[in-house]
Order: sequence, then C-alpha cells, then structure tokens
Amino acid sequence: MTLIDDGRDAVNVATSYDELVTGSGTFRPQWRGLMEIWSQLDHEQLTERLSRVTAQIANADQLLALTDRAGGATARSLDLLPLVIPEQEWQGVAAGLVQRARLLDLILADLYGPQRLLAEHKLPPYLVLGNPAFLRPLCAVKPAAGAPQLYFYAADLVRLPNGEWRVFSDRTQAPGGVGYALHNRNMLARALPEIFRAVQVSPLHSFVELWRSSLRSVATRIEGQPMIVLFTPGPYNDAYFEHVYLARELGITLVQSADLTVRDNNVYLKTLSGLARVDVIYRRVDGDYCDSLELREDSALGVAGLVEVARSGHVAILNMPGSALVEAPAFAPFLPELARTLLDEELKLPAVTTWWCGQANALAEVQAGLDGFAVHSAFDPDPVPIDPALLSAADRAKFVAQLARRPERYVARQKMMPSVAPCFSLDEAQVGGSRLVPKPVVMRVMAFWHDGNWFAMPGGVARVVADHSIYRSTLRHGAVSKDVWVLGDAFAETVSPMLRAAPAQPVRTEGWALRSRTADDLFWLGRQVERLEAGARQFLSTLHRLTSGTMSPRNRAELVRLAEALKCTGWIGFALAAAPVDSMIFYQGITDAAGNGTAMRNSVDAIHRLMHSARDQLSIYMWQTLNKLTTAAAMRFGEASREPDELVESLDGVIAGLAAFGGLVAENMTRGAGWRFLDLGRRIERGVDTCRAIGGVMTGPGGQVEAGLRLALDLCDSTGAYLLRFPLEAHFTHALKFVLTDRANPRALLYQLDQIEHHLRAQAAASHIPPQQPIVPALVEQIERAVLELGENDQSDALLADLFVLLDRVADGLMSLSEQVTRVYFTHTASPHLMDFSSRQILAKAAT
Amino acid sequence: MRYAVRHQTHYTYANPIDLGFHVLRLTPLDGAGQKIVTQQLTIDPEPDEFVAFIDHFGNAMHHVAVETTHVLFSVTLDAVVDVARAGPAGMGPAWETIRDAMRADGFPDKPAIDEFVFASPLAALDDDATDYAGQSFVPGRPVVEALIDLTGRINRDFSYTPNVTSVSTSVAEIFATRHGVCQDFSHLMIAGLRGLGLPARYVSGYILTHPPAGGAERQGGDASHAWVSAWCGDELGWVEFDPTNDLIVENEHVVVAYGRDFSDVTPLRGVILGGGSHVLNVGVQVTSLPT
Repeated sequence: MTLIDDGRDAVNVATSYDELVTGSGTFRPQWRGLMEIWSQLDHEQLTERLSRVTAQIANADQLLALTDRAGGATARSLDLLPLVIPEQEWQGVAAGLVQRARLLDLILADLYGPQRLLAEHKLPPYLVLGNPAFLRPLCAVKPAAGAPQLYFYAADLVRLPNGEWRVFSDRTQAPGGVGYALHNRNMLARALPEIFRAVQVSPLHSFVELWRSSLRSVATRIEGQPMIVLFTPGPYNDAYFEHVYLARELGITLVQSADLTVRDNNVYLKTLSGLARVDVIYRRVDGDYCDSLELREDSALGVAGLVEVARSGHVAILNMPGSALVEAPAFAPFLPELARTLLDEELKLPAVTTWWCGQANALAEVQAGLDGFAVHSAFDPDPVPIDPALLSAADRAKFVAQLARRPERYVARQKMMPSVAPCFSLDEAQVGGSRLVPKPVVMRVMAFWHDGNWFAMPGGVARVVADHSIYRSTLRHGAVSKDVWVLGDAFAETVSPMLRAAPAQPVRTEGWALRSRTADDLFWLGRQVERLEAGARQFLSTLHRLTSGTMSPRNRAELVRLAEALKCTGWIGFALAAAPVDSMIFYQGITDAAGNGTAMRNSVDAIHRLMHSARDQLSIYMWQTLNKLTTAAAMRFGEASREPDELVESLDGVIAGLAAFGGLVAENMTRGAGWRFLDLGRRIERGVDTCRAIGGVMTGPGGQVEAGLRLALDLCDSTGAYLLRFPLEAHFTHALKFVLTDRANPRALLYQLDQIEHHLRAQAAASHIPPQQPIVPALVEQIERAVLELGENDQSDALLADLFVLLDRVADGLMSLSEQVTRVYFTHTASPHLMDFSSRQILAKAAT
Repeated sequence: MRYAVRHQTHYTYANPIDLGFHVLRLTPLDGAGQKIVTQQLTIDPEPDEFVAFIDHFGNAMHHVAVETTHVLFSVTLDAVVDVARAGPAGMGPAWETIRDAMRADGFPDKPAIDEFVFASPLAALDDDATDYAGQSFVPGRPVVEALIDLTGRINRDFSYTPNVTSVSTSVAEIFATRHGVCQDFSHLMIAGLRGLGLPARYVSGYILTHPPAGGAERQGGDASHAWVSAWCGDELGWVEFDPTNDLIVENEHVVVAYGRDFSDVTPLRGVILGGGSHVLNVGVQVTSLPT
C-alpha cells in the first residue's frame, strides 16, 4: 500500500496559510522587524552563518549523544529563520494548550481511578480497555506528593488555511522538545545577534527556572535537599542529546537503569558513597519499560520494583507511567464533550477533524468521503497513514473490507494543508539567490504543571514537514527544525513574581558522590584502553617480525613466543597460535586478527560505548582523542585485505593515540573518584596483561630464553629503559626483575600492584567503607619472594615453571580483585545498608 | 465440596542472589462460587517486604522483596476452600444478542465485561481462531450450547502435549501445530470467542488432582491449571469451560485469578539480581476433604 505523501508536493502552497505574507502580498506585522534586518544581510553572509550553526549542532550531537559511528544517520539541522508568533496570538495558543493539559490530566486520573467516564458513556471502553498503552498495574496508583498524573505535556500544532491553529497530535508519554528549543535558541542568538537586538523575543530562561522549582515542589521528603533525577534510556536512545542537555539546564542528575535500585520500598541512586534516596523521577523512559517486574518483562531500561514504590507513594514519577494512554489519536473526537463534562468549558484548541471509526455514524462519514481522509491506527501516536486516494483498485478493495471488518481499529483524519513558513536551511542556501522558500511546518509546543497551574513555554520547536514526517514526533535525525519566537515578554512578567517568591534552592546532584555506574564505566574504560594498548603492542611486535624479509632463526623463535603471548592474552585463537609461524595461514591469520579480528572489534567497540557512557567525566580533548582512535580503527573493520605496512601504521596510531589519552588523564583529570577508578582499571588490566604476556613469551624451547626476555622487555615497553640501565643483551635475572619487581619502572608488575593497593585504600576511606579482604599484599609478597629466589644465572625449567604458576596466580588474583571492586562499588550488593554512615557497626557486619 | 490446596514453588540458584522481587497471584479467590476457609503463604527466606493488594481485575496479589543474600527461594500456599458452583441454568440467549450488546455502537452498558472482548497480549485476534470458533456459532444458536460444542471440539482437535509450548506461545503457533497445554487451549478459545465479538476471560486456578472414584483422569492437576470464562448474557452471567478436560466448570475447579490472558495472572513473576542459572520445582496438590 502506498503511504500518504504529506510532502511539499502534496501541499498546495497557494491555498495554505502563509506565515510570512498576507493575501495582498505584504509582510505580516510580526515579521516586519525581522525581515527588515534580514534583507540587509547578503546571501553569502547568511550561508556562512548557517554553516557555522550546522557545524555547531553536529558537534554538540557528537559530543553529547551516541552518534552512528558509520555516519549512516543524517544529522538534525536548524533553519536560520524562526517561526514568528505575535504575542496576542500566542496567548490564545497557550491558553488552549494549558486547557488541554488540565483536561488530559483529569481524564487520566479518572481512567486510572474510578473510570466514571466509561460507566457514564463519555468514552468508548475500547479506547481505554483495548488500548495497549493502558497499563493496568498503575490502576489506583496515585501520584506521590500531590503531583498530577500528567506533569509535562506537548502538542504538535498545525495552522489551517483560515489561520486557526489545530492540534495534530497530543504528546503525553514523555515528550521532548524543551532541550531542542533551548539549544536552537542558543544557536540562533549567536548567529543572528543584530536581529535579536532589534526584535523583542520572549526569552526561555524563566520557563526553565520555574520548571526547576516545580520539580523540587513534588519531592516526597520535606527535609533536606531533594534528589531529582532525569531518567533516560541511555546513550542508544536517539533523544539522548536532549536528555543530557536538559539535565544540565535543570541542574538534576542524569540516570539510567543501572544507576537506580529499589530497597526497602524506596528508589535509590547508586553512588560511590552508597545508596542515596531519590525523591523525584523526571521520566524519559517509556512507561511500559519502567519496571520489568510489573510492566514489560523484556525491558532492560527500567527499575525492578518501581511500580510498587510508586504505589506506596515513596517517589514522584513525572509523568506517571501509563500517561501515554490519552495520546491515542482516537481520543480527539471525544475531547470537546469531555471538556464540557470535566471542566465545564468549551475546548479552546481543538484537534484537526478526526473520526474514530468504531461508531456507525463516524464510519459511514469516513466511508462516504474516503478520499478526503488519511486513515491510520486508532492507538499509535506515530501512525503510518494510508491514503485511500492513492491505493490501487485491488488494495483499495482490500482496505475497504478491512475497515468494515474491524472499524474500531481505525482513525480517519481529514487531510489538511499546514501553513507554510519562509525557510533558509542548507537546501535553500545551496540553491543560492535571496528568495525565501515557503515550506509547510508543524509546531511543537509544551507545558508543565506547577503547584496546581500549568505554564506553557513561550516558544517551541517547529519542524519543516517533508515526506510523511508530519506523522512523526521526532526532532532528532534528519529533521530540519525552526526556533519558535514568541514576541513580547509576557511570560517572564507573569512568572517573575513567583520566582522571586520561591528563591532558588540547591538541588542535590551527584557532585558529592560519583554515580556508581559512571565509576564502573570509567573503571572499564581504563581496563579496555589498557587492553587495547597491550594488544596493539603484541600485534606490532609480531607484524614487524613477519614483514622483515627472510625469516631468521631468531625471528622464528620470537614469533613462536609472540604467538603464545597473543593466545594467552586472548587476541588470537588456539588454532592460529599452533600454526607454523612461517606459514601463509599464520601470516594471514595475524593480519586478519590485528585489523579485523573479533577481539579487536570487541575492544574498540567497548571503548566507543564506554567513552559515550562516561562522557561527562572526560574532557573534550580526552574524548576527541578516543573518538579519533575508535573511528579510525572502525574504518578498518570490514576491509577484506590489507597491506601489512598499513596495519603497522594504524597500530602505531593506536598506540600513539592511547599514549596521548594517558597523558591527558595524567595531566588534566582531577584526582577524584573518577580518575581513581579509571586508573585502577588501567593498573589492574596492565597487571593482568603483563602476567599473561610474560607467561606467554617465556614459554618456548629451552636454550632460547633470551628471545623470551627480549620480548618481555619489548611488550612492557621497557627495552629502552632497560638498555640505559644494563647496556647489555637481556640478562635473565636483571630483565625479569626489571619487568616484575623494579618499583622505579612504571611498567613493572609491582608498580601496578602498589598503585592498585593505594587506590583501593584511598577509595575505601573516601566512601566510608571498611577495607575489603585484601588481595594485593599477598601477591606482592609472593612475587618479591619468587624474584629473590632467582639465582644470578639459574634458568632452570623448574624455576621457570614456578614463575609461570605464580604469574597465573597473580593474574587470577587481579581478576577476582576486579570482581570485588564491581561488587563493592558498582552493584551495591555487598551491603544494602551502605547509606547509613552513622551506624558503622552495621557496615562492619555487612562486610564480614 | 471442600478442598485442601497446596502449591509449592522452589527456586534453587546456581549463585547467591542479592536482591529478589516477586509478584505472586497464588491465593484462591474468595467469591465466584467458592469460599476460603483457611489460607497461608509461607515464604523462605523471610521477605523484607511483603505487601498484599487487589489488582485491576479484583485478584489478590502479593508483592515480595528479599534483600538479603540467598540461594533458595520458596513459596508455599496452603489453603482450604469450599466450592459450591452450579453449572449454567439453561442454554442462554442466541449468541448474536450478546455480541450486539457488546458492540452497542462503541458504548456498551457494561464496560467491565467489554474489557474481555478486546485483543490482549497473548490472545490477539486471529482469523484462523475466529473461523474455527465460528463453526460452533451457527446463526441463532444458544450461546451455552455453542460454547459446549466449541469446548469439545478443541479437546478433540488439539492434543495435550506438555513441554512443546512456552508461556509466550501465540495463538497462531498453537493453531499451526495443534499441540499444547491448558494455557494454550484457553488462549485459543479466548481468541476465537473475541474474534466473534464475545467476551472471554482467562482463568488461572487448580483442578482436583484425582477425580472421585470412577471419574476420568484429569489433565493439569500437577501444576497451575487454566480454563475459560465466557460471558453468557445478563441472566447466566459468566460461565466457565475447561477445554483441556472437556468440562463445564462446576465443583472440581478452584479459581485463583481472572484476567485477559496468562500475562495478567502469572502465578509467580520475579526479577532477581545475580544468581546465574536456576532450577525451578513446582508442585500442586488438590485433595478433597470431608466437610
């Protein structure tokens, strides 16, 4: 079946309302100030400003959100021209928006409560009881702390040819838009300073300020600073940019599933200092994904037990899960009557003409004028519409039969022509010339609840309609958006007395204690970065020897040992490690593994994921260093064949990039918990890799021990330093001591262990928890003893065998240390009462 | 009839669990032709949270949180229930009158019953199931007569085969394979009835393990059982049918919960932190007691 085409072609520009000019061809008054200055700017100047804005947005998206590394997704972009709404007109829109928000909140309260609207025939039961967005576990659950069911509401509006605004869709799930509006405004204010000086545009900051105090006002606890969190699905969500941006603007903590846990029927944020109780959850995770215990059980985005906490009234969730119920398109035709029933008011801002086909008269109406409608799901807020006029005869017959058989499943919306606004985005700039192209627009407007009243944002985000996108809510990828300018300053005048009356109080953020998940991410980032570096070194050593022309016996002996090391550290498989080192299979296998192997991909992917997840802990330069590195590495993936030279070059690049990252960590990162866990991860991984790699390269035929020693020094990046101290060929005892126990060598095993122990003690003290079962000191002692026992020239197999056993034990010890760190600091399973700092006895008991 | 019901669930975890949340719908319903004489839920380990409440459908639910490290989790229900349920008093009206009352141009008189006409997660409307059920619902046929016929046909046309389907098997799959257990047959029947516009509920409960001497062996007695409750008009109300055993439900069944399908009435649902794999043992015994 053909999709409806709402694109520019389908819109008859001549009969659409023109935002800019009147029928007689003059600018509408609200545009005059802007156009006067705009017309003085030349095309080149504007194009340059536009490309700067575009670059800034791409940059912001890249820094804040997990963008598609392959570059597949199109970036969102901003039109340089805003949509201008005069103050008076805005008052009307805002009043209508606020009325709808009040109405939808009352409807939700009834439908999740007594359901009088169903009993009294105000709403067809199908719209509620047959609606997949009706979350039965939330029935009879009252929002905590006097909060409403619907706290934040958005609507997408279109303007009809007669100039009236109509609601195209209601958004009650967890609507976005404010973050984009704020970001767009920042961009435009920088790009068009002369226009902002000349035109009085309603600022947005008082809206944000009031919103901030409103979030505080629904906290479940009176005393102390409330903990307010923005609950996001995480960096893989395509609105993550907005979540990060908004959390910063609102001064609240950004959290995802792994940050939260339920204990003693409360929601807690996991921090390095223990569990911190959460008072308010500003929810950006879809309602049905919020609790795998009582809602969708396949959800990995929620918090198990959350619904029960809500039921007990111990946390305020905004909007309540289940709020998406009333955004079903089929509600639209019933709202005018519901406004009369529930509010005793006429609906000020109605929807575009919509029929729910589940009633005979509506169905007849739709069937009679089928071609004038776009028909789609009664429930899906982002429906894929069918345009009956565009169907083939056979498809049409099929569709008509379907509609007659299950009419209740369909909604028909009268096709309409949105208004057109002047555009200057990349498309127009490329065409050149000074003509402004009119394009159809949809305007997203938003409102929130505060203390019993609703406040509409004096602005919004307009979306330029292309293809079928009038039906999509997304402002994310590929959409051209426009800032919405409301003229005047009425909003600020209304709310500023309220803001003065409620002086800003600090909200508790995680500043006092790092989120456990972030520490976890940094710990693993440290481990992964170190692992990649160790791997790159091993591959590099191997490739150098493989590509040195004819293979000398020395090369061969070293390659055998390198293959063993690569196997022990998990970079190549057993089969490849067993292949003869001068065979083609080995050569091919090594180049594949180095450039495109699963272990290599996993390592790069892990770094890519973790750097996004821990984004707010890394400086821009640290982030860019890693981004460059992972992007370059990913470019190699999937390339079938590669030249060894190229590989060597790119591995060199990896090592150099990681060294730069290490330098930035050492020089630029505050010595807080974040740095400590990043470094702890690196030290643990370096310790493990050193044990495994030395174990590998020291395994080989007797009488060739020097080969192993040379490689051990090489892989520990210690050859140069060693030769400065001992200007001789690798000497058994000296070389082993240098890489194992020399505390002056930052690559030596003992150096790592000392640092690990230091970090653990410091963190335990900072987190007020008793030291855990110590693992490191025993390992240090064993290594020291073993190395002491190494005779000057004793290279017996028995001694080597003992050493291997010991190195294995150290590696295993470090791995269990890693698990201990995870258990104590990240999952909070070791001691559920960590939070209670005053009762040390409980802590001590919990730890034993 | 008086019955003693014992429903035991044991989880053994491979690794210690630090945190476990469970939602239980295990206790028999008080009402709908039965009365609870005594009832006890025993949970091991002792839960940190234990909250009882009534869900949207009027079923008893228990919310359990265990916040201490444990390797075993077990729930035992012991209940004594009196059941006195009569079969339908007559064959009811022609089935179309019920369908039309439910449709009522979008505004039926009884929204609470209408809820069970609509598709639900595990009993989506399915053309095959609707056509299959439709063969029993010839024009003008009294609704109970048609339901008895459909119950018998499902019992004959589908074979009772444990372990070939799972809790999430769809109606379409059951139709394709013609195998399943009580839950599958119930979902199939419900989907068919709803496809015809008739309200149907999923019933979770227990059936007498060993029928009175001389009676046929029953299927479904060793675990939670499931059957169908169909709306037969204002006069008869809800009437229950057991397609697994080809019975009109009277005095051998103990009702635990009503819902749209299994997903609304899952006897035990849990989320645990840690633990790796687990072994689950479930046992149900229903024995008759002298009154």
